[in-house]
Amino acid sequence: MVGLQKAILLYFLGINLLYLFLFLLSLWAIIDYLRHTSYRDPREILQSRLTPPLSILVPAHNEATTIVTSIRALFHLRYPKYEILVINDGSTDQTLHKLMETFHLRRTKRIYHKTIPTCNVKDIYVADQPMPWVDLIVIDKEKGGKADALNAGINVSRYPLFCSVDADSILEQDSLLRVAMPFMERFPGTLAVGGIVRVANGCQISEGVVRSVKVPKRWLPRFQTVEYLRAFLSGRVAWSKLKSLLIISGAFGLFKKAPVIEANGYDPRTVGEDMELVVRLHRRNYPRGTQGRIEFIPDPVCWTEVPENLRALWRQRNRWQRGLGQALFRNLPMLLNPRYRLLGLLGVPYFWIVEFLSPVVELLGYLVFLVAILAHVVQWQAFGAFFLLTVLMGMNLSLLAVLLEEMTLHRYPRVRDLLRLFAVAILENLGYRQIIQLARMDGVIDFLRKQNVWGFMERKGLESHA
Amino acid sequence: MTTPDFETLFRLSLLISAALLGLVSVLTLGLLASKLLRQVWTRHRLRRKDFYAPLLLQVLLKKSDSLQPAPLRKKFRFADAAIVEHDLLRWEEKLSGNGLRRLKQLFEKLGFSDDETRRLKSWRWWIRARAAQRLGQMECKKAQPHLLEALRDRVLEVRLMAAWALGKLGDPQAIGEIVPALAHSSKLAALRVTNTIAALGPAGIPILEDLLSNPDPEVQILAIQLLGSMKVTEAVEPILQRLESRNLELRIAAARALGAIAEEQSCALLENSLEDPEWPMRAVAAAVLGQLKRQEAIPKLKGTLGDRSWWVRLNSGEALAKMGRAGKRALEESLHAPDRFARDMAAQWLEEFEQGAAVGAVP
Repeated sequence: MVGLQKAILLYFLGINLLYLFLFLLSLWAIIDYLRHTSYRDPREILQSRLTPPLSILVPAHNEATTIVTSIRALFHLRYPKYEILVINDGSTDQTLHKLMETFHLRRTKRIYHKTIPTCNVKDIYVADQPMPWVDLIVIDKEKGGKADALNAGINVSRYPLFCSVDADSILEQDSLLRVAMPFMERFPGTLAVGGIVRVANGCQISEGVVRSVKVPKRWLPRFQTVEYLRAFLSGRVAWSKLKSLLIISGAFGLFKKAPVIEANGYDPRTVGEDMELVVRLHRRNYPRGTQGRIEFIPDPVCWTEVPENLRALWRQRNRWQRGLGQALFRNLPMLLNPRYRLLGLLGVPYFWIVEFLSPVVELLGYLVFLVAILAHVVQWQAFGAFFLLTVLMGMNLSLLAVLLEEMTLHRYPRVRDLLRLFAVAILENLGYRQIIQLARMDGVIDFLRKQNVWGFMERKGLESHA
Repeated sequence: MTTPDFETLFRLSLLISAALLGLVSVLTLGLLASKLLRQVWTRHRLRRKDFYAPLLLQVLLKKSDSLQPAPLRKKFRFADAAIVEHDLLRWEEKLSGNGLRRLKQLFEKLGFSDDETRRLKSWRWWIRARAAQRLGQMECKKAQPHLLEALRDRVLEVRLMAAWALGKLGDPQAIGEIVPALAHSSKLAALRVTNTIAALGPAGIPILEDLLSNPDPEVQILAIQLLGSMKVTEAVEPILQRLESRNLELRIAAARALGAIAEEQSCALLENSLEDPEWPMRAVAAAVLGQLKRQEAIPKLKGTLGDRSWWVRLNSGEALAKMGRAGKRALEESLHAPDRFARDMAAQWLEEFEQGAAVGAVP
């Protein structure tokens, strides 16, 4: 029993030190990034003939509440040439009807070029030139899941880059210009670039544009705000710097199309198609010696609606955990494989041990201590101290993430909001974190039971939050 | 090896957590202190700015042609040089004519150009990049050799800023150094260099033409892109020769540049590129012929509607859709082509033609 307790403590000690290292690396990386961008003007890319055009893919399944706002927001993006492809993935609500009515779609004879196999495409519609520099194309297809919808979008897209965007998300006006910057710097050497996803709940949004950034009013989205900061700023920035980034969020990522087609697109058998694709791209490219860079940059912002009730949040975290398990399990040969350098020796083991197994270890820790107390092996004070330790560690990480945000990107201008974020960083460890760990544990169990359902997501609509 | 006992491990974990909490506290205090310092600095800067503004204006507005900034320099106290330099750089954006000329002279006489030239050697790259930017903005001609040296800096931003600054100095000979220095960098570099060379005007064209014979294909590609973007008709002949190069990127750059220059003599050779063994070249050739609306290419484009590469078929269809009635007729005829792919593509582009919305595609 004591041996197990020691192992659990060692685990916590190890990940704490790793997190500290990742934080310091992120701080340095963000400052370095901001210095570099101060010598780059997005307007240059906007005016250039050399900027590669891109296709924005918006998979939509029963998104009638948010789809029109999201698409309108995409028309406001600043980028020289792009097309928007909405993929209606067998919606049973008014999604297609709303799109047809709002954007005056007409059916086209456009050929469906099935480069990547997908479910049947029923029709392809185009809008009658909503904006001179943007084409809107709607693909109506049979339901095949998000990955299948994205693959259909890739098949219809015309341009060498594609950007996947969730239908419940809003991109900031300059986000494409910023996310395309690494492709402008080294087109052949870049495979994919991800941007930061922030919580839209609580922000003032009108006509598809975020007018004012605020911390959400409800506690559940507030906790998620800090979680997102921690995941994106302290985590992905550092992993990107270590060339070991294993995930680009499905809500906002820019990919070079050719290597994705070569890899046969997204895998429709997973629920974590975004991570699975990135891991597979790494897996294909490293051994060939053609490892293109997969990067994360912290300032092109995508605003997304997060769950406001516990049931939806539970389902989401369960799915994320299953997706993580699927992506890691399918690419098991990368684990501790020196052929993949730091990615195989540090990145993949980190995702296995810390991201995938942390709910197991943490909940096991609580359980072991409880059993030990009941068996009079340790005193209850020891359990209290263990709990205090996990809370302290969690609190530190969240506080560091909020600090990182304030020291570098500074997106919450109001002092009141900043104080709220500090309070949330402390409070999230007293209950919320344990609930999330339970949801993730549920996901681990479902993964082992090979459950592969997506789960229903409730939407309030992006403009209803303020 | 003995493993530490549970209590030691636990204490160590608590200690590390406490240390992290300490770090959080220090960072929070540091953040607050930096905000406070920033406020103090802003107030100080505004006070000193108000003090120097009339003095600077006095020097700038004096009728005599010789500037006498020495007494001004004597008044400098802690950080005043940085404040005055910053103000002069801001004024540079607003002034023109004689005022601007005197401002630049004042910048030099106050010793700022020497300061910035020294900063080009700083160990921090962002200081070097800013120095190059300021030297360019103030057109400090005597800094040219140092800026040419900065073209070989290991950091791209410094190289880009140095290239931009050299462009502002207006010496066309610098092109011969800028293009090779940036050819391997990125599209961003190519973009910056385009602006730089456009700023130098027609004087740079002969040097760009010379660069076409550089042994490095990347240098040739950048030179071709620049000549294309400047629409230099005299360069058509040497660019046409690159259509027969073994290097695919070079052939593609040449085809695109010829499309931008839009000279009649280039079209016949571009038609031959529709038979290139590499599909990206065939796709680009089809797109360029469509852009040039080359009616004579219609028979060949009808043929490439059935190409084995989808991109070539797509661009050929688009090219025909752009060619007016003759193109439409060719698309209608292709509806009865034996090749299914050619028929499908013709149907798609006929529809686009009828909607008047032929949009561009890029392989």
